[in-house]
Amino acid sequence: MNPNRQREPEINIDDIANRLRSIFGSSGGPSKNSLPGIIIFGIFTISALIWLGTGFYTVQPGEQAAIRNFGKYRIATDSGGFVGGVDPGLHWYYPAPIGTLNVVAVDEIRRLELGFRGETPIPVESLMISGDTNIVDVQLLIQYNIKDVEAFLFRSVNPDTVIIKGAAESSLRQVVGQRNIDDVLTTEKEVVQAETKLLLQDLLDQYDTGINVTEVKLQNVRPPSQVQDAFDDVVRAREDKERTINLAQAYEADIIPRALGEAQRVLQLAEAYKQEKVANAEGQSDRFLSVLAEYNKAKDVTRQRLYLETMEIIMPGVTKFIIDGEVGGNLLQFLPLTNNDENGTLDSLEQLTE
Amino acid sequence: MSINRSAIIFVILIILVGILGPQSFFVVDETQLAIVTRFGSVKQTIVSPGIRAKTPFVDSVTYFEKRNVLFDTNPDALLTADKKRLVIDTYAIAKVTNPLLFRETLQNSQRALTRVNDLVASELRRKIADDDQVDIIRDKREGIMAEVKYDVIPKLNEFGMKTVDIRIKRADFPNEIATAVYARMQAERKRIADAERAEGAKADLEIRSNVDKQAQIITAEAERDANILRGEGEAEAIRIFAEALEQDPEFYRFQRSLEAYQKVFTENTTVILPSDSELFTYLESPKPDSGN
Repeated sequence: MNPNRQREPEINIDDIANRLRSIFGSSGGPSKNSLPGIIIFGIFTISALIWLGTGFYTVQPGEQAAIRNFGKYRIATDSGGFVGGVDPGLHWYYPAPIGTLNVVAVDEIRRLELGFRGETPIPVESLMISGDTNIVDVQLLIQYNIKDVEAFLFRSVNPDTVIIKGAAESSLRQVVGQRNIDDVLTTEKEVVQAETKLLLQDLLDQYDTGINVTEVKLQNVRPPSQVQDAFDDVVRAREDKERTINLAQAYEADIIPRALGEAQRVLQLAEAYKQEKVANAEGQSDRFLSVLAEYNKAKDVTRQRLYLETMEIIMPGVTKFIIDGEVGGNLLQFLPLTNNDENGTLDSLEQLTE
Repeated sequence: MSINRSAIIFVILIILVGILGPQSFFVVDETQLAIVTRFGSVKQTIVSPGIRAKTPFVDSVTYFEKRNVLFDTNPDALLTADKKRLVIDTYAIAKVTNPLLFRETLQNSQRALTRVNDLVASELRRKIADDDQVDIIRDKREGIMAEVKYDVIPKLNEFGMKTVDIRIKRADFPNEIATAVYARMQAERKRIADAERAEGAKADLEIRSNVDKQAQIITAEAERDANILRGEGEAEAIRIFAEALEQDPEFYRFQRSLEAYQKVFTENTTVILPSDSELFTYLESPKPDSGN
């Protein structure tokens, strides 16, 4: 910029000089001597002012400035000052080549993607060995900002690209390497995140990067695509197991109450039987006692009556043989008492009666 | 001639400053180390930043990176103690602290990278060979790295470099055995899946048989209690009967017999009665009976 700015007025120098010469004619040796000198001096002054003007800079909120004068970093003790200030606002520094200015967006959250870039997976970064010597596919997102501008700029080379990537890969793989694949895939995701963050921050501090890791997030943690089906089948198997158990429990829920109900029914029936028996016994014995009471009042006649009444009921229906007491014993041999055939019996009896 | 004298002087002055300035002064940045040499021989070593003077045209300045640099070493397939191979990829973080020594031994950072690579690789090869694969993957990383670091630090010191850290970045299976690993993983998953299903079947049988057992016990206990109840009922009935009947057992026998006769003698019963049966007392004669 500066050479251009100097050249433009130079075109005018001759112009102005000629015009001045034509105005003053042949007069004034000293004025002829000093005028270009004054102009050159003026140009120099303007250039100097322009140069000094390039020393203005603004620091936006969330940014911090770092200034080196002749290569030496000026540690900002009075950070709000106008000259060499590091805090948000308008400031001024000695421009190049004396000063060097860096304005760093310290609060800006930066991202580092490990194992993927946007939508594209990067298997060479994401595939790693778990502690039980399986291979697991882990994608990690790291968010960070700058906590120490001096270290960030002057203590390590490419801290936000090369170093953080190396440290992050190393940390994640170490943490995953200490765990079994199932834990990494399921229960210990949070722990992996937390431990990776701790280890990574520790390394970045050790390497003087000035980087502050704000968050370490596991994006995708899954088995490699080659074995995904086998892993899915395990999930299905677990679901199968759950379903089988649920069905068995449903069976339990169905059978036990029914059995209990049936048991109650059996018990109620038994209770009913008991009560029936007792009631029956009570009734019958009361009846007997009542009858007995009356019987006691006229024993003989009652017995006779009862007997005859019973005979009256029985006798009309039965087949009767009335024989003389003296031959009774002998007749028995003619009766086919052992024959169960009713008709046969009747027949033989009929024959007898004939 | 004299018109621009002062201007010419001024311009010459500027040119002189422009030429002599950079020749007489040099800036060492916050990120740099510098060596000032005069015709090849070292005059001065500068480790702190700022502006410095030197003899123009005679002294020359060589700059070195002062900051921590990550040296990404080449991945190397190494043999573990159990004769398995692991591809180990490491990095080293180091910085130049003694530029003189560094320049004498390594000249530049490209050579430094090669050197760091070789050093780390050879140390690593020895350490890896001491441990089994699974231990390296699981627990021994830190230990191995610490040992390698311990051995590499003095060697890099000889090159004027300070070692900040050496770490295993990756420990991977070589590509050619990855397929075998996947096959093993698949087999293992199948085993887990089978075990899960078998466990489900086991739980199923357990639960169902337990349910059947419980149901059977419930039924049996109910039957038992029912029988006890029935027995109680029967006993009570017997007691009640006995209490009543005891009052006149003979009458009971008589009465109950009559009742029984009614049931015993049905239509098809044949009864043989002696003619002197009490029933027929009046059949032959209406005289009053003296009574039996």
